[in-house]
Amino acid sequence: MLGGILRQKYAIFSNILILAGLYFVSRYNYAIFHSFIGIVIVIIGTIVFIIWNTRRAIKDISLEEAGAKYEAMFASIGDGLVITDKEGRTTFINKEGRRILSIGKSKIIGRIFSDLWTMEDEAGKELPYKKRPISIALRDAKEVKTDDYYYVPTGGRGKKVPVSIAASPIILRGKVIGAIDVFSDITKEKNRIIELEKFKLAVENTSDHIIITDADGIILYANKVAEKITGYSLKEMVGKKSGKLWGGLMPKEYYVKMWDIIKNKKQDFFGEITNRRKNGEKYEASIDIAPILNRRGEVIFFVGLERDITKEKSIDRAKTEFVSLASHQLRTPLSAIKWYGEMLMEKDIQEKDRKRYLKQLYASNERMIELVNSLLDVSHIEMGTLEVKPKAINIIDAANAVVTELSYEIKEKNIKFKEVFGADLPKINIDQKLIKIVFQNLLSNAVKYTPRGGRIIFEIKKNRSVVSISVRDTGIGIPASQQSKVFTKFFRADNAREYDPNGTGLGLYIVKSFLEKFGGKIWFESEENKGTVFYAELPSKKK
Amino acid sequence: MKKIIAGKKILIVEDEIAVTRLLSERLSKEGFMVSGAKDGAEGLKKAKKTHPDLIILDIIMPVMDGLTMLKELRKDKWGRHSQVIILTNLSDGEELATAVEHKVYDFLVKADWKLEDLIKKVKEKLK
Repeated sequence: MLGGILRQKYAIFSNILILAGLYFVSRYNYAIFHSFIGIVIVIIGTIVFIIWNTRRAIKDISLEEAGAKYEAMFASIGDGLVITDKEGRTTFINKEGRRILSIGKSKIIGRIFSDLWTMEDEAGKELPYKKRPISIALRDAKEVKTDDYYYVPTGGRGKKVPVSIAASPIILRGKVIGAIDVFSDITKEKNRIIELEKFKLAVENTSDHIIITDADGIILYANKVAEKITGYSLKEMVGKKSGKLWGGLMPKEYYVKMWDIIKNKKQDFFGEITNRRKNGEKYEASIDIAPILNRRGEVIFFVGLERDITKEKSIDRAKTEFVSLASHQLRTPLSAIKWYGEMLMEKDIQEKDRKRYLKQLYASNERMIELVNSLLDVSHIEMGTLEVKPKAINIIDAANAVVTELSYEIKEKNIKFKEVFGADLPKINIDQKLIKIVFQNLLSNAVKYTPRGGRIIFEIKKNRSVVSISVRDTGIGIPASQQSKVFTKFFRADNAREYDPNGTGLGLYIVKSFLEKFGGKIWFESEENKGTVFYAELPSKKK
Repeated sequence: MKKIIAGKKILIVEDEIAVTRLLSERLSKEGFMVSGAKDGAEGLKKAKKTHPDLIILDIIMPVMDGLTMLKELRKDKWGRHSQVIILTNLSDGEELATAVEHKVYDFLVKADWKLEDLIKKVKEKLK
């Protein structure tokens, strides 16, 4: 009992002893024995007092030493460190901690840490006090780690700092007596992640197909476009070689050369390639493969870029084909003109031959003019440079003008030609020159392919909001097997070529393109050797 | 010269009537026996039947084009060794390659040839 008091209450005990000793001395100052006892008591009290004070001083020095040691130790670790007591009051903060939180020691020691810094997530939403790492460590004696929050100084002091936090309880004899909060500033990492996210987003959302492979060509990553173009899902691609999925269609030498460039020479490879989608469909692509080297110059990755150029290639081919066909078509009348010219220049030519040759030469030249005009129309249509000058016109006038132009041929072939024009036709907004070309083509085709004595009915009428046009003939018709190609440029049905070798195969293509330009449409019904009806519709809405 | 030529048969397979008419007139004048066909199908039939000494063949024609006719002709016992000149307005490498593949080494582009030179070429071929 006394020991316990002695141990815990040295100061009071020693003071009581001294006071009691002094009392004995003053009370019994004539009784030597009693005053001696008093003096002894005072001496004992003084000794106890001195011992206690000395011990306390020693204890203080060792605590200070320990603090200095901690400080030195925690300064050498790059993390911030805060120690709190069980109420959450800060008892220690190291140098890095003060740096991260930009605060002086005196401002924080003894204060509740959570009062000085709240925590927020990425979006700025505050983490409730109860859920903060220090609170959990103190309350539940649990260790908490998180990288998801920012330390935000309260009261608008300083800036918010993204931190990685590990808080753990300090337990002494089974009781939580405080908490240690170790944290580091992850601003750099956060920025790096943001940068990386940006790149990832860019790669994900680009219009090119991008894959990343290891040095052996095994796919590690593919973006969405790669999935779209090849038809394989990311899951199906990763871990495989592109050659086994969509490649392998090119000659062996192509791949040998490609690997030599990217793997041995460590240079970029550019080229065009034909690959196959998952569904078996082939596609053409321009590719660019770049080797990514480490510091020692070894290939660690390949980044492959592909652009699907199937459409461009087919347009390109169509253009080439057009040029080739157009030049063929132009050369035909040209060679006839050339050779007839040559024959006309021969010395021993007879008068009747001269006339015949001239007539042929003239006809070939006419064809040439017609062909060049049509080709110009086609080129305008294809290049999108067709000039349309709409004007409110009465299309019956345009129709009559064309019929008049053809009247000689109609009469010569003894064709019964009937016009059925509606009386209530409104004026429509259309390019007069172009609609005339439409009528010319439709009517001259009917005249050309209708045998002598046949019949043609040319009808224009109003039909609700559209103007309907039809040209019905009793001509040679279009073979069923070739009907789908009638509007294709340069196409001529076999029976038409046989019936009249002169023709460009451009007329109906032009008609269809013009009508579509006007917002109209065209279709037909035909039976070989019986006749054909072409129907066209134009919007009659007046602007 | 005329004696050698006399009686040699030429078949012109050409859809362009103006060209057929002109060539046959000009070649007849030289003493050849000229006949015409307006497409590949008709040409093939006539060639097999009349065994001409030379076939002047166009490429772009209705019903059957010239190169198809050539392929068919080379399948025929007589046609395998028949003489053919291609006279066309096409000048693409692909058509030329097909012609060579079927043993036709005279691939003439119409607009590049003078009538006179063309006649010389035909005569040379039939010497």
